[in-house]
Amino acid sequence: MHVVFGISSIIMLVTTIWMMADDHNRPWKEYQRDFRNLDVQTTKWRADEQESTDYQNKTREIERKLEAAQEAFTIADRDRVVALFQKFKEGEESYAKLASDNKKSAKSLYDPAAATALKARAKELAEEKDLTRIREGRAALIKDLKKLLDPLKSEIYFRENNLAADVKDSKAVFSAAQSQFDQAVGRDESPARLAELQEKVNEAKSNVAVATALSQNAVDERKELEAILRQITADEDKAQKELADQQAKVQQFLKAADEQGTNWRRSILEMPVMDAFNSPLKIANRWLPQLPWNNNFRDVARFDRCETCHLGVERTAPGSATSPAFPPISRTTVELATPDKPPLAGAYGIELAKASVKGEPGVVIDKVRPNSLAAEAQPADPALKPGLKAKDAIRGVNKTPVESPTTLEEILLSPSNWEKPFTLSVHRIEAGKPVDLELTMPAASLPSLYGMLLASAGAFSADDVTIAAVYPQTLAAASGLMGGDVIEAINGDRVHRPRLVVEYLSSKDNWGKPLKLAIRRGVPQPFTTHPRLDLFVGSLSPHPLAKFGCTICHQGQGSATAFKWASHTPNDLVQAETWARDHQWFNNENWTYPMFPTRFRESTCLKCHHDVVELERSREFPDPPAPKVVAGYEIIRRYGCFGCHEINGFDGKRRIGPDMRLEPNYSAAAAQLTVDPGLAKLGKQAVAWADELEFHPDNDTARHGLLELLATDASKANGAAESEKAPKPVLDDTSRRMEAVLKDVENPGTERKVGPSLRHVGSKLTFEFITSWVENPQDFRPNTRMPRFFGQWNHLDGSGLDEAKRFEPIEVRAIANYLLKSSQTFEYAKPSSPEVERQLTAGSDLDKKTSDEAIARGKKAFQLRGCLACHQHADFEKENATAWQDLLKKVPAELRGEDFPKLKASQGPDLSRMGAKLKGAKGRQWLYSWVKNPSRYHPRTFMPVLFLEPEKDANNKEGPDPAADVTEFLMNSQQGWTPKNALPEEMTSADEQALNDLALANLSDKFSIERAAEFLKRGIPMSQADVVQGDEALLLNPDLKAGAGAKGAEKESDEEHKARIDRTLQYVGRRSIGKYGCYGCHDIPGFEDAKPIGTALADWGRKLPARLAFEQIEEYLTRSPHGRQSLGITDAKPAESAAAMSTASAASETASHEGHIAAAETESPEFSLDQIKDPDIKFFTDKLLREEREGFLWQKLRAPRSYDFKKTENKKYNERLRMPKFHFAETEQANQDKIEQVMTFVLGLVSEPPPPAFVYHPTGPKEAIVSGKKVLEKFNCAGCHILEMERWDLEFKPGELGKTPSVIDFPFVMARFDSKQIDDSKQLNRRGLLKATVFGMPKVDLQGAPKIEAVEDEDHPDRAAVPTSTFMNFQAALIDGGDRVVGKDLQIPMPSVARRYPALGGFLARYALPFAVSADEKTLADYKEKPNEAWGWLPPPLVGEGTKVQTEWLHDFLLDPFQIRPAAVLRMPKFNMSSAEASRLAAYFAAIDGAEYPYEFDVRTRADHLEQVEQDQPKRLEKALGIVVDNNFCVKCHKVGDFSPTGTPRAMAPRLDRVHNRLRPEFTHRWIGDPARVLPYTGMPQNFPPPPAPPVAQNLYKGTSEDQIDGLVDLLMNFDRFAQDQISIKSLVKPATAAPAAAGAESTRPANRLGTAANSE
Amino acid sequence: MTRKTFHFAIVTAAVAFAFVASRASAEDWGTLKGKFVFDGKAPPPTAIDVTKDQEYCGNKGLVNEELVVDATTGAIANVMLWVRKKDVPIHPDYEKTASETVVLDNKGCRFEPHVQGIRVGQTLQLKNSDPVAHNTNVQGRNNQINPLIPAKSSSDQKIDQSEILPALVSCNIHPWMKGRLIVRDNPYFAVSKKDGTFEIKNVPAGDIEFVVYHEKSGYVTDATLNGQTVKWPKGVMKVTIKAGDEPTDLGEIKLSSAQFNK
Repeated sequence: MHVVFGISSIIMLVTTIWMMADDHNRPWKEYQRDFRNLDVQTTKWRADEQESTDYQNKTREIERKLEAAQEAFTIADRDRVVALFQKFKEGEESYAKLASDNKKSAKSLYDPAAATALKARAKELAEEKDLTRIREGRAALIKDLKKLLDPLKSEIYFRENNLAADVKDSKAVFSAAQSQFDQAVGRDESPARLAELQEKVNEAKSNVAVATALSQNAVDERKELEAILRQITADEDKAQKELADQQAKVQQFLKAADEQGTNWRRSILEMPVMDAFNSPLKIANRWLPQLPWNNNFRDVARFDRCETCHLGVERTAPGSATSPAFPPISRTTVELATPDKPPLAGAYGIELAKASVKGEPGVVIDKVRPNSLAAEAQPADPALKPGLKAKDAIRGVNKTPVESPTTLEEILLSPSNWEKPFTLSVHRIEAGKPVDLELTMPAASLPSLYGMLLASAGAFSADDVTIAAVYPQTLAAASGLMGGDVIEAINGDRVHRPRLVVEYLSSKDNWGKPLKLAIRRGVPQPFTTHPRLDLFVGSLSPHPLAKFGCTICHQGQGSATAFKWASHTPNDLVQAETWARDHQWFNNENWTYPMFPTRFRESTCLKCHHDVVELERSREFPDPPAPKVVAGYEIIRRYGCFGCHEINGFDGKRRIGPDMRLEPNYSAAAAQLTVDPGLAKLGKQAVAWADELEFHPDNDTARHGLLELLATDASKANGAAESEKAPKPVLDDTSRRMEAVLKDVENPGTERKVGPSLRHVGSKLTFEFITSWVENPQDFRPNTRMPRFFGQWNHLDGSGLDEAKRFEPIEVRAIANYLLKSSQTFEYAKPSSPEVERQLTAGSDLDKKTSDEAIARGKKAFQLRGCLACHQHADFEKENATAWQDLLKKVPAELRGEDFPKLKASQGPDLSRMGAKLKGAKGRQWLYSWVKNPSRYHPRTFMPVLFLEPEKDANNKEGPDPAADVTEFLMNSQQGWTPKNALPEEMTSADEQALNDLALANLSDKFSIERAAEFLKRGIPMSQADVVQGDEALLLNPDLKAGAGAKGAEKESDEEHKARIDRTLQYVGRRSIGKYGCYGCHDIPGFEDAKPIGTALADWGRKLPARLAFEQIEEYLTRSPHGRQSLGITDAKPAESAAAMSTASAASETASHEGHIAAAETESPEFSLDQIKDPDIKFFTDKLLREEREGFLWQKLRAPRSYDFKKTENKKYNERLRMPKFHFAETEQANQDKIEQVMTFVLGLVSEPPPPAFVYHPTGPKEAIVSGKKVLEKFNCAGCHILEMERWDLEFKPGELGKTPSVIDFPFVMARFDSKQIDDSKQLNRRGLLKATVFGMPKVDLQGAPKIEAVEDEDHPDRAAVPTSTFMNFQAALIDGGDRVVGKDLQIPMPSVARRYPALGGFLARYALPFAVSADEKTLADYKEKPNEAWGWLPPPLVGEGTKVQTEWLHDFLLDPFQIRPAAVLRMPKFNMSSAEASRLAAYFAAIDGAEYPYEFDVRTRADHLEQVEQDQPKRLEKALGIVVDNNFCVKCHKVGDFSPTGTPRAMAPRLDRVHNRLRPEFTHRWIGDPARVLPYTGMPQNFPPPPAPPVAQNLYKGTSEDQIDGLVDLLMNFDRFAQDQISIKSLVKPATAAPAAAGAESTRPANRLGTAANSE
Repeated sequence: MTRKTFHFAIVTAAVAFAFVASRASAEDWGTLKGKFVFDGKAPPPTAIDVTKDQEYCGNKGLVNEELVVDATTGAIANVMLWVRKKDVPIHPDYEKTASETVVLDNKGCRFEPHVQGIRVGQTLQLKNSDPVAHNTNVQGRNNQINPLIPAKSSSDQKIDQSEILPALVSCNIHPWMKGRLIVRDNPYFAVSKKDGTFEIKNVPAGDIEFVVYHEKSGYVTDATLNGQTVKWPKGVMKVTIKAGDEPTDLGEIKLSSAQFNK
């Protein structure tokens, strides 16, 4: 028993020790120790950084001040002491009384003898010359003074308190007396008694006054005494405080370092065993009960312990809210300037005289730079002032004689002598006498030379040469070096010891030219700070750590404290290997929520950001917060993935994620109804409703009306079935199906189908084009968004391939056939003139000259009228390629942003070959109709009406029709393309057989094979019409007589044959369209109610891999040549066959077949991941082989059908995979990048929103901005308009941006800055530079390129000219404290541009500007020197639009735009936009500018306002109108009502009578005040000079300029009302009595009747 | 160096400079003159298509003034030249005119003069002698002003920043109206008159660089001086100014026509 007990005790002991040891060795403890070390080091370095040379100089200065204060006892001080005692003397009596009152001896309070002694001492001291004695005497004197005064002071305080109490008492007596008097009055007592009481009151009152005065005097007296005493020590106190303040920061850092660092207490607590209890090393727990996670169907609170190791995650650099304290490791090279002065001057501030004094030893100094080391040299005799002086001769250093400047330089500059200060033996002539003295001069050092201090050891490795501190505004700071940087190499030479760095930097050989320092910056994981603290983790960010924790975004196992258990996910296989090696990482498949790898980290944003657009760049966050997931969203939006794959953001009413669903198909349903002849039988209103609904599907009145009619009609159908006599329905079956489509939908989708409507495709395209296009859309348009459905055969072989080859052409043919057959009629637009009609119908027979002219005009219109904002066209690519490239070369790299014109618009299709698609007169007419009004053809198109109407000349003669010209231009844009893959219209018998087989395969899904064959042969008899529904209904054969089929053997007539083929084609066509889901993108007749065919994606990001069909994908990728090739594996032999195969697909069938055989022969080649070179492909292949969802998705997007590898043999043809292959970009790499972007989005669709408080639900203006952005993007507003100006962050030397211009202007046009903003703008940063941010854009030259000129320094023409941009300032900026107003260009030297954020949008305006200026010779002559005025003729920047226009006006304008500016070369088009969308846009602009919306209060249009001002200034509106119509002012350029000024349209301005509902009054006021302060490029002059200039137009409107402007604004804002007042309607109405009899009895009868009635009464 | 000595240095320098300057006035100033001639056949002036205020501006016979060359003598007007450096000693005589008003008139629907020069500190009077309204839109790098000037009135503008190149002056109401405004920190600039001549008085003697510039050509770079062809890169013409009363006369300077074909 004892043995058992003994053994078990030992085991227990061992286990306990083991447990303790294991606990002690947990890896996170090591991290915490390392981090603590890092933290302490860094804090100490920061303390060092405070102690810059400047700081030290300042400290020394304060210390000197303090010393000086302590050594000064002046006559004034003496007088103060005398005055002090004089005061005492005056108060002697009262003090004596005070003493006796308090029962103390007078002497104990105030000793006149002691006072006299002190006075005498003060007098003596004031005469004293010896500093030491003054110091001592002064200190003693002050001490004694205090000693003498202290008892008195306390007594005085005591007395003060007593006096205060007296005051209180006497006040109480007073109020008692008062109330006695009042009561007496109330009791109506005798006057005598009252007088007596009054007397008492008076007495009490005077007592109060006396007591108060006494008390007051006492206080004053004391204060006076104290003040005198304070004055004596004032300087000293001030210096003391200053010194304390100065040192506070350093002390603070040192204290912090002390607190963080290890000490013996901590060390003990961290010892083994001890550390199991209350160790300073602790696991960090972040408890987040608000953000539960789902643990096996139960929500449990989230525990994040990530900070146990990620210790620096929310640390900010001192003094900043967002810059990280510990950035991740990065390597850069900085250029460190070296001292440009000769060594002695550069290092010590000594300039030597050209020659030394003859015969005298030593080196003579010519100059000493202030604040230099030489100026700090301390003489041994403290009585002397410090510093070397000019004319001093240095005769020795450290007792070694100095003979020549060279020796001096050698000694002073050798770092080996820098261990301690130098002792200089100096010979000086002082007051005419030679003196020899010794001075101690600090040695040069990196801090004094460069302003940087090296640390004794690195934070992580002793070998790291680490910079501890960089002092502001020094060479080191200017180069961008920072404390904590590790110097790895200098000029390419590795350095690994601080000594080497010191030698390198101090060597005079290296001086004069910059050194290249290779720098490693930052700290390793897990210590780094989270990136973008402005967005994440930071306490001021939208996602503070305390609220969000880590795993809600990153996923992973938050409660883990070891690397391997936290479910980190590597970003590639290299990282996976490293992790596995260093941290025993493994892929923990049992954890459902592993972290997102870096490449997909943005996926997580979608959990809360359901609208996605809020993740785009914004004014608040100009650096895009989540560019990748936004790019994915954008691709999905543009390619219309949601056409097949529903992305439903709602679970019932609950919002669960991004919502991308097709809008309800109301428009198509209505269009379908309109072709039903039965509709007219339901009444005119029904037809009108259907028409309305087709073009305005948001019209609920029409829809509900139609629905009701449909329901009524449908009930008739039910009735009809019951009895023969019941009324029959008038609508056909298809129309009746529309009832379901037209129903209300809860949370309807908002996306339109991305492809064009095919409802009337027969009016546009030929069979030839359609078959070619459907087979391979890229052949016609390489950058099309339409994916490829057919010819995806890489994964096929054997019978599977044969079947595909046989059936696919049939499907293509059948689809084309169905589309053309079901195409509904389309009425082409009416040509604008007979000539146009001739041109359109002539087709290709148009005569060459007419055609060429029209093409030339059309091309110009295409270029300038806005087409290029959405479309590309090769003509313009070609024409501009070289020009733009030359331009780009002129533009410095920092200006080449995404916004710079490069023709790449992709909102609409590339039109380079448009003419090859449309054929003959039909094509021309269609295109003309389309260009004129696209909505006529496709009610849901995004393409707007561009108002391409013929212009009228001065004689009202119509010019050429630009729509016809553009049509002609596009019809001739063909690039010689001919349809390659088109099918012949005639079918061969093999085709017919294949068609029959395919139809049979389809039909046998529903019927037995025999029946199916029979139906195919003869059609389905009408008797079965009720049974057969859907696609099969197309096989109904009305000609088939009942029972005819039974006979069977008759020979088929040609007619019957043709009908059969047609029937079958229709059937197969419809089936194929349904199968491939073509209607997901296109409006196709007959598919109005069809549902999306693909997998819903709303929670795809959480889809269990077990539910994904990986099938034979491993086999395909690792074994088949095509698969291997797609991974970039090049095997010697299979490569040949692969090459053979890839050419084969285009070549003959046999060749291809052989290829497959060859491939089959070389089966089972070896495979390992290492054969894959591309790291991304390798990563995803690994994921795929591990059957993870990322891998599945990746392969699905790059080769969607490859999952059918070796599967087709056992699948029916219709069961094959249908997903087409998308082509997102032209190069393979770019395509891969885009696939990853799409994946980022899809993987983020997890439908697991956190609690509502965490989901981004913008409200108010933020909501308006988010929903407005969606509309902006939908209609590509940014294609033409600049939505945000460029933002340039500048860093510059003071003075580099020129002087602030003096601007005299009205106060209301000027920006306001507060003093803090002004002070901040004057603050030099640590690099010695000023900072500023400006918004606007560079002026452009005649070619449209940013105007950047080399500007020389006029006073130093020898210096290199600096490329300088002329920048149009759109927002007043503060530059070095100066107000740089809008409208005064900035000259910005390009090197000072630290960061440029490109403008948002405005591509077309930017592109078209040079072409608008050179549109014709006259315009060019007038404007070639000021091309920037042409901004006014182009789509205007919409910056500040919200504060400019009235919201209601903008809404109406968007729906029905009219021409505002006569100068514009293109008009605002009319978009196919709903009123709701227009409202959202209008609200967006108001919200983003912080303006009021949806309605704004406008005091100027209030009647009482007008009345009020009218009273003050009668007739002011009339007088203002006087200015408007005066030929010197407004009408010179502006149109007003029916008046139009003469001159070129470019110099004409908008109609003033329409301003009142368009502009906001405040804006109008500023605009008239000074247009240039609002819009920098405007040509409108300042009409009314600001004071002090005298006002103008006094004959028209007497008053100041401000009065006149006010009057004008009031007139313009009330123009309608004012104009109405000018018209008398009364005079137009003829009095009834005067009506002539001939006017007709009918109309006069009522009047007569009334008249009669009146008379009779 | 203490602050006191520093001040002392400034004072000394100022005194010294004043001394040098006053001493220089006695002998170290000279006058530059010359005449610009168009080397080649100048294109005849093209008439302007008057689109605005035809009743007044239409009968003025307005021509494009980009290049004004006397058909018979070849004299070229509106050639601008100025001292390249901003910071040059200024002759005391110029103090009298330092705050003078310089007039730029809108007269007959053109700017009069076509090219005007002004010193920083002077007042620019934008004048309108016409019976129709004009605006004068000065678009320099540093000076941008655009007041409306009603008929028969004027507007005074303080000019406080110099321009490295002459500023464009135009009228937005009458788009053909163009002119130039030279704005310099010193008074050493000139514009050639109709007869091609120019003169700058009281220039500091010695080697001085001038910039020669013309509206059509930009920097004037190719010229023939005393029968010798010379190149003026960036328009820089180096001249040695003789001190004394006798002007430094450059004589006829022929400007090669090719540079005006821009």
